[in-house]
Amino acid sequence: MTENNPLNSIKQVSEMWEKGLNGLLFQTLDNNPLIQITKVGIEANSRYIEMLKRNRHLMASYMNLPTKNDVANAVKQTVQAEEKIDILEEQIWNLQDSFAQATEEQNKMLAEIIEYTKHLHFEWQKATQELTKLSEMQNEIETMKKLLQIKKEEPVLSGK
Amino acid sequence: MMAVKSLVSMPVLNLETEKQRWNTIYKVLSEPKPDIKSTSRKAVWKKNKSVLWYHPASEKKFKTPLFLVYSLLNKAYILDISEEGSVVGNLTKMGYDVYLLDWGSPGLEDKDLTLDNYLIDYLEVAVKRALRHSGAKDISLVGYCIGGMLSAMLTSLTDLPIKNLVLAAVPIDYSNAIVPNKWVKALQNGTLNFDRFADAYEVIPSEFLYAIFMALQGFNIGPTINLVTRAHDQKYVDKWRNMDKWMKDAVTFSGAAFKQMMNELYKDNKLVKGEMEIGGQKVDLTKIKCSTLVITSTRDELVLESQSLPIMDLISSEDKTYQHVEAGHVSLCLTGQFAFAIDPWLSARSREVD
Repeated sequence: MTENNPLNSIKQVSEMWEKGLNGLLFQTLDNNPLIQITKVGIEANSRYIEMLKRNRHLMASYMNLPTKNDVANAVKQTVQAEEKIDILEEQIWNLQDSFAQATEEQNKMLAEIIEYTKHLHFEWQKATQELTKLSEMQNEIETMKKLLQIKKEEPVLSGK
Repeated sequence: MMAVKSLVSMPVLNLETEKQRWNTIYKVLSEPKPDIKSTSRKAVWKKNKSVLWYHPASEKKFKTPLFLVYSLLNKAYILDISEEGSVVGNLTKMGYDVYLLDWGSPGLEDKDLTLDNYLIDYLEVAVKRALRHSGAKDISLVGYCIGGMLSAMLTSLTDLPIKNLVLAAVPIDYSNAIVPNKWVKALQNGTLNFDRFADAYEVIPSEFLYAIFMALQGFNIGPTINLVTRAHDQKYVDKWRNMDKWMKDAVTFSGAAFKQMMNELYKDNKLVKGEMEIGGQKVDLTKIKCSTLVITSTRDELVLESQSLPIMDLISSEDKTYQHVEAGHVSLCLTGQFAFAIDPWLSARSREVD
């Protein structure tokens, strides 16, 4: 708001009046007879609406016309269908989550199997290497045995 | 420019400004109500008349999304009343993903909807959907007015991961209200009873709720005077027209929920006493343990500060903050100020994007 706004003073006066009038209204309304009148008014209005509704139903049934209630009941079916779809969707989510979890666990298990196979393979290679070494050792022992036998068979010099 | 200067201390009268002012007023009175342009959004879930809107952050800064719950008695678009300067618009600019639950306006087929239904079949499901859609571990629940009351009730009942709870202008204690004392007493002792009225109408007409809001405000010439005073300011006039449209665009309300509110809250004040039951479960606000921010406004014309304050003692949260801001019940949302009021608190408690 600009400082030179010619309506500033009107605004200030209206604010004062509004505050004052609201205070007065608040005090005036705070009385029991008014509450009683409101109560009677609400009751009368409710009775009137009930009567209107009764007549509306009566007319509709005489004329065999659908009422707003019939339409509302049809709409309720749609809401129920929506709720069922929601429940189904949530169940699909749960299934998806379960599948995801199962796949994750399966992957974990497969990783463990692969790790175990790798370990087995490594052990197998180690065993093969050891076997090769053992074979070499066996060959060497065989060779040594043969050498020993040759030594045994060497002629012994004896004096005649 | 033609100007007439006063001789005494009268303000300067600028004829151009005056011409523009009265032209604008004529337009406001004669033209149809404006179209509300909302922030960029996508419907994530729909049920009956309710829609869960998703407003993505302009530049996402926080992993924890916000879930806004507005009152059942007014339309939720006050939170998203314009692309610029609305609560949702400001929050998305601040880096939050925002979900907004629009309750819709109930029809005759919804006459039996109770607060139990609104909480369990709508609000809880919508929060679940928002969590699923965002892929976030947890969520911040932000409730306004009756929406705040429902948010507090849900937080105490649900197992969903609610990280932060913000309650603004929330009525928790109904032992006093904005209406004169004798009327409060008449509601409490049953002299004034709306059961037959609610049963007769089945769905409370929007005209009735509009009349109640108007009556609660008493003599309310302030907005009209403000319009006349600032009619030369086009930005203000646009905002005023949006507000005017929202004020007159009242909702209907389910008769069963209306009866439940009148009897269990206004008459018996069950929520604050811990006697309220939702879906067969007692609503125990002491079960609220998450970080909580409660906001009230200085010029609130619908919910008294004393109606909100008891929640500070009822909840068990160790991290709880109370804020009293300079605003009115509607203006806090309308001006988008609400976003600035909650951001410092929320940003410190939301997970940041890596």
